[in-house]
Amino acid sequence: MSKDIISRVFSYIVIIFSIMVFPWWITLVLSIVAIIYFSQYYEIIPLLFIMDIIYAVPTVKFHGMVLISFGTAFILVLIKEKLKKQILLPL
Amino acid sequence: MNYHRSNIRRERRIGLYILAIAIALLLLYQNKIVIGFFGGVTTGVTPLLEGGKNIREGVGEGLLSVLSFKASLVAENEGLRNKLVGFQTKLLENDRLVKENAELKLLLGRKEKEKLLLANVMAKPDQSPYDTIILDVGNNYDVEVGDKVLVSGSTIIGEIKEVGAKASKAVLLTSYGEESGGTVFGKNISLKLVGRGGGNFIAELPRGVSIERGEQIISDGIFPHTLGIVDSIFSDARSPFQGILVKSPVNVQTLRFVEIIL
Repeated sequence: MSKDIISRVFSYIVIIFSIMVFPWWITLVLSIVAIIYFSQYYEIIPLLFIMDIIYAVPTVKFHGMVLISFGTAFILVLIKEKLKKQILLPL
Repeated sequence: MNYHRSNIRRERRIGLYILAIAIALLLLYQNKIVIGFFGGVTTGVTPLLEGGKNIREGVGEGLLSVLSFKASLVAENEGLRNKLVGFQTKLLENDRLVKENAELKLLLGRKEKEKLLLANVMAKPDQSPYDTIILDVGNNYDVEVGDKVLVSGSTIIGEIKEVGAKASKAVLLTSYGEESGGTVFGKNISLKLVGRGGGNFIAELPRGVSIERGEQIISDGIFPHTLGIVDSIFSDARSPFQGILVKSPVNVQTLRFVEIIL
């Protein structure tokens, strides 16, 4: 197994642990760091989807939306990949 | 011989005169003499006096502070003991009143039908941005959506929003934007509490309505529960309303168990 895969799996386990134990903002910070650090870190999307499944209920705070973490992860990954392409491979 | 005696008497007399003059001078110039002596002595004595003063003050202050610290602790201890006795008496009175209240309601045909179910808090509100708590009871214990979540059987903190097979999710009433009805205890003033997060509600009442800090807000119904305590009141001269910040008496982050009203 390559070093990259090991570190990806390790980060995944850390984020799962964070979802179960730590405050949500720590999970958010860890997720952002992982998205920035790893290339094409799409696995964060189902992970935060699971977070929504565990905790989310329709509340006034989010206008009844229940996929806030999932949506945030999705947008962050897309932005990062788009930016990466524009910064590293400018046309 | 006579000559010798007269000489002695004269000498004695002169001695007496000198002594009298010396005493008179001493009496006349006592201040100057004392000050003169003192002036000479101070040069050598001042450092000693200052040292002595410092030592005295230091020891005195230290001793005083130790004594006063001990005295304040003793006073505080005494005060707390007295308070505890007061609280114990109030608690007994409270128990008696609660029983009496239930008995009176029973006599008037209103039997308390609340059945409480103990639940363990598996996830606290800070673990998600949704302000939810996850409880370890669900359909297996007949928990239903809309059931109220209590702490210590007296304070409502949330409401069940989703029920699973063996777990349920409850939203805190203090979660941002959540609305709940309440009444000011003892005044029967109804108000709408809106969650602000962090265990706080906010409510609005017309400025003319008298409300004070520390008043209890209870839930509606014949068997009410505590919702919060009035923490502060604020008003703006331009608004006909006054804002009321109500604080939940429970710290949700430290909870291990709650009760669900089935």
